Amino acid sequence: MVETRVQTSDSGWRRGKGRRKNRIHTQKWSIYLGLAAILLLFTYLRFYPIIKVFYMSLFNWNMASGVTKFIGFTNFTRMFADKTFLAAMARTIYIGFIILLISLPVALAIACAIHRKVIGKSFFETSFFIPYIIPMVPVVIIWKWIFDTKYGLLNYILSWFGIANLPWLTHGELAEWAIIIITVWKNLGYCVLILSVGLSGISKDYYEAAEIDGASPWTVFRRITLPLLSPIIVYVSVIMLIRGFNVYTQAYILASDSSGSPGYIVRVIVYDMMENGFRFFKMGYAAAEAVVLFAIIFLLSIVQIFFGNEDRRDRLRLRWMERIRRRKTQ
Amino acid sequence: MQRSDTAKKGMGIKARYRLVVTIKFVFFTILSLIILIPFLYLLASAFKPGSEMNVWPPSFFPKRFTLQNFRTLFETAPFDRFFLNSLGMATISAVGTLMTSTLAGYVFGKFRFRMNGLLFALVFSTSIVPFEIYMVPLYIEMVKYKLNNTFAGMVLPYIVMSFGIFFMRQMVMQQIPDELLEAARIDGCSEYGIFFRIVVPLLKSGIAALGILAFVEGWNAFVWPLILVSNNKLFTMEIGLALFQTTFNVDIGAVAAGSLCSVAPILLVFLVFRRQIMESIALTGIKG
Repeated sequence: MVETRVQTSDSGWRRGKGRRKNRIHTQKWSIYLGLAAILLLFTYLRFYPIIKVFYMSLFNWNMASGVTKFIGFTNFTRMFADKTFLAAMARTIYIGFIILLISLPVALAIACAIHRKVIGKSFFETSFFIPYIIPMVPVVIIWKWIFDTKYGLLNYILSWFGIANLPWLTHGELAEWAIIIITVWKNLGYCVLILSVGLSGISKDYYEAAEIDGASPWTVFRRITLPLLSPIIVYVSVIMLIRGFNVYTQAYILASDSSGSPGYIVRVIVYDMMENGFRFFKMGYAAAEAVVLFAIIFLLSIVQIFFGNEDRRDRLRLRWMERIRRRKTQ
Repeated sequence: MQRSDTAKKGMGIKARYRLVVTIKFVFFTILSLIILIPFLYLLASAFKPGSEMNVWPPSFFPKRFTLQNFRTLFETAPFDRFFLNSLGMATISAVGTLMTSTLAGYVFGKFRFRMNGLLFALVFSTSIVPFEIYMVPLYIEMVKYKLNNTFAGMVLPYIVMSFGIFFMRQMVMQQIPDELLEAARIDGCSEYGIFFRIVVPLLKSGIAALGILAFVEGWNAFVWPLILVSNNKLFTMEIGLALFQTTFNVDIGAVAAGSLCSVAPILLVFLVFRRQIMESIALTGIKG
């Protein structure tokens, strides 16, 4: 033990400046060259397009006619006067928040229940997680059959309860719910997994202390689990909102054939963007929509940085440790 | 105290515990069945004649087992080609991601140079930006270099992954001791020799996990191939399926068979590497 400590401090000294000068024989430049090449690729495929989206949003950039003309913020003013866009925006925000409001409590309940002893735990975790890893297109196709008005499995099950054929795919609000159900189904396993990791990070001491106090399970959940898990909850919420705001494939597949939804009732922001950009080739306008989406995601990330930080969690932990200590001394 | 409480209710702690465990088991069984129903439905539909799909009441299990759906699928559209395209895309995306992420993660994790922190933070910050944000400029770049409607253009964005660099940096920092690298340097090993002979073999588990994730991501790619490619020789399974199901008078059974062909490889990969996939997603949380 002592020896290893000596060694590490030794290597720490070796890493110091005096040693670095003697290391001329190693060709570090070659490895930096490798990193530079990767970063160049990364710049071309990520940084550059992300920055260019802001630049493009200020242009009337039409790929079909070849026009690129600087028009300032006209795209944005036009966008916020466009009823289709505003409706798409409202729909996206609605869908995003409903997805979050359903998946988070459900996932939390599942995670709390599965965290304790359950027979066949790994089987259940696996089956919850399968939808998350599977490609989206075939999955939405299956759901489309399940949602089918005339022959769908869902309407059949609902008919047992006396609910007549619901037009899941062609009615505006129901089609939104179809998207919500598919997205929740797909991401639930992910939320459960991340929340379980968070739960296993909470020390057992708190629960033991609470048991000594005779706290009810609900109090334990509200006073220990929830506050200590809050950074993870914020993290999962932000990720889920971002995913909800980016819903596209679901809407595309649901709306893409004669028996599917009419495009306008499942038009979400990314759908609108794809239509403007790749059907009408109004690239500048599509870029402006991307900028709005980026702004939303940026705000959400800031929320996560402020409310999901470790410090708050540590403070809570300290407060609890102090309580436990006080109780022990009494 | 507690014991007497439960004794009053006429149940021992053990019995109550067993009851809770049983209730949980039943509850989770039902829940996982509900979650898996779409897959079971798909599996059943792929092997039943299309005529059994549009009936009321809907039938779940095939009354007549058939492989005709697969025959129809491969006859009406070149799904064998789509399958190979998907496989190629997934493989190249896995290999490319591994090459770029491992080296970059290693350099970010073990080398001290000015800008290390800044560059890494920049790379990592892009992981929060969804692809949909920057697809328009990226598409314009591809058109500029005539890469639209090519396989190269389709896989290019998938050979770098900010999450992969982050993941590999974590792995390098956790699993590779500085002393080992120093010793190799003193022995006169070249920097790339160190990388390929020492770092890569030690990172085997991380490489496997990231490779699988990148493979899955490449296979599941949809939006990018959809906008970039219009030549049906380059279609992946996802694009092929999405367009196939919209064609007029399509055979529903064949769509089910095609969906199964698209789901099956990923399902297989997942079931084999379940632990690695879930652990690496749990570890870093960011992506999958």
